[in-house]
Amino acid sequence: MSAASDPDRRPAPPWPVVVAGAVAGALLLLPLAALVVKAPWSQMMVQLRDPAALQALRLSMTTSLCAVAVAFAFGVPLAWVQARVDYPGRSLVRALTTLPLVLPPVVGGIALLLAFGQRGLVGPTLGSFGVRLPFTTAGAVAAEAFVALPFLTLTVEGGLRQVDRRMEDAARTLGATRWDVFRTVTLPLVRPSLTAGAVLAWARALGEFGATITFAGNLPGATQTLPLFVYVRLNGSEPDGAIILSLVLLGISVAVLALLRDRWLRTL
Amino acid sequence: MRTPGLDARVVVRRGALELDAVLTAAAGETAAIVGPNGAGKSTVLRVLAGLTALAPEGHVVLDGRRLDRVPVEERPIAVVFQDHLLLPHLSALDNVAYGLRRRRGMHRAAARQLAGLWLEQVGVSARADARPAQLSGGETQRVALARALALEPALLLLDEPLAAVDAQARVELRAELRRHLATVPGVRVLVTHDPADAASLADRVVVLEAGRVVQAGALADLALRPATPYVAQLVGTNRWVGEGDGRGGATVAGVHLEVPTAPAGPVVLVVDPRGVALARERPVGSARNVWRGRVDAVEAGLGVARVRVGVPLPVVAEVTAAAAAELALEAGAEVWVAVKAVAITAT
Repeated sequence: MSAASDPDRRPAPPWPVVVAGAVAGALLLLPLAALVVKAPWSQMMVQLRDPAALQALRLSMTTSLCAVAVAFAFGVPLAWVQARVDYPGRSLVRALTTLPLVLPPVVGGIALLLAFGQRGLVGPTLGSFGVRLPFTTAGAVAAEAFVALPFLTLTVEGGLRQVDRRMEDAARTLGATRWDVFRTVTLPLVRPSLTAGAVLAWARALGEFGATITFAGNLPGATQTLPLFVYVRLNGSEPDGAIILSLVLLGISVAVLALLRDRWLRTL
Repeated sequence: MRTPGLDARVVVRRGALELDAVLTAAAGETAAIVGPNGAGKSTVLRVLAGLTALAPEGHVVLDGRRLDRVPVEERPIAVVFQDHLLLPHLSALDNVAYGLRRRRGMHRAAARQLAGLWLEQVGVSARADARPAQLSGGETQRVALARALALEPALLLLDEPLAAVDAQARVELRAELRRHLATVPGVRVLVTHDPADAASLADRVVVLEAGRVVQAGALADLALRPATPYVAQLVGTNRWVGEGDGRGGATVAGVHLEVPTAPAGPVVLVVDPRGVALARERPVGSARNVWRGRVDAVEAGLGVARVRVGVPLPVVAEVTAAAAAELALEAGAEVWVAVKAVAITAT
């Protein structure tokens, strides 16, 4: 059947819409294409062997994975409470705990300082226990966890809401305790959401800049994560290193996207 | 003193539902809870299973033991749920083994071996490794049944076990279910809206309407003396409320009937649909209870047709399919209705 005679054929899209859409696509893709095209590829191996760069990369990996672990340990219970416990003010709590999604990261950093800083709300109390967050690696982890947590809780809460509660009832009648049910029914059923949430949170933690530099500073080897290092290099004598490391971060982002494909769009 | 069997008063108050139902059943007996949608049938099962909380004045006693405070997972029960609720991430075999491991504390290998035998019992051992999403409706039903039977429960609860199965498979599955239920030594409680399920699976029927038991007994007893219009409809008989004149007659909806047994005052008349004759011409002869009505609907069955005649007095007649065809009975047709006096029971 020719296209012209296809009764289901839709009319051609209006051209202004197509043009505007193309501009948006270009705005998103052109910079990324430029990054790939203009990258000093010949410098690749040299830059990646730079000990300072490797140190920043290692620190970024450590802090982002720690941030995901923190987000997991406390975010999954929060998601469970939000999905399963009906209490007054639940919507308000959800709105507030997802605020870091839209909050300028630098504001988050200042807020963290005012909470955990030496003269902050709870900083002195923590200090009396020997815990110091600002300008430490732990602080960098805290800043990353702060911005990454909502990605995990939102995704996992969405997944928990989709679990058929009657499946859990059925498991109870088969002799499973509440803990058995959580372990052997609920967790396996929300595993896709857990994976998606953890990967999204990790990607967000890995790219964190504003909150980290504000709250944890920019100390090489302690709080200078990869994005901070890239920024410093770009403004310094070696923009090539900045571009190569940007490519590395871009590669990680693309890998994350490929890993999740359409999954996170469904659960978020 | 331990009396084997179930003795329960199920009381639940939640929103619009005010449930207060007494339910007793002996071990080895199948009780069917029947009722219209929203009557609270499934809630009764959930309370018995421990999934819904019982109000303080209620009780659930099984084989002489109070179950009210026993947590779900420790009750000697098994449930076949309406949508079967097989755990989607486990194979058919592991669904059956799950209960054996949790409830009976069996080890993985032993549980899986026994689960395999149960799948064989219900005829789906070939599908042991399939995930629930890959099973047909009938297979799912069988696995759900095996999962419940494997627990060897003292109380087996079945919530509309055949509702999710297509009509063709239902007849066969019903017969199989009947055979399997007979092997359960404990109490069986079945919730259904289908009188055919109740007729073939249950020893006793408990009719629940708006949270209350309106009638309980063998289906045949219910057909003789339906306590409510719903029960009458369920068992497929006619139930009229009229006024006896004390002289062997009664008036229902303006129609005077000859009912020798009718006392004076308000009376309930039950009429066997097989005792109701239909004709195109006014019948002559012995039938004295004769009036003219219009056909509302004709339900064709195997060899018989059930004809609902509307105004002035709603009545269901069961006639042979041949007669229905000969009379050209269809909605809107004008017919003469004749009821033999002996077909009318006054209660």
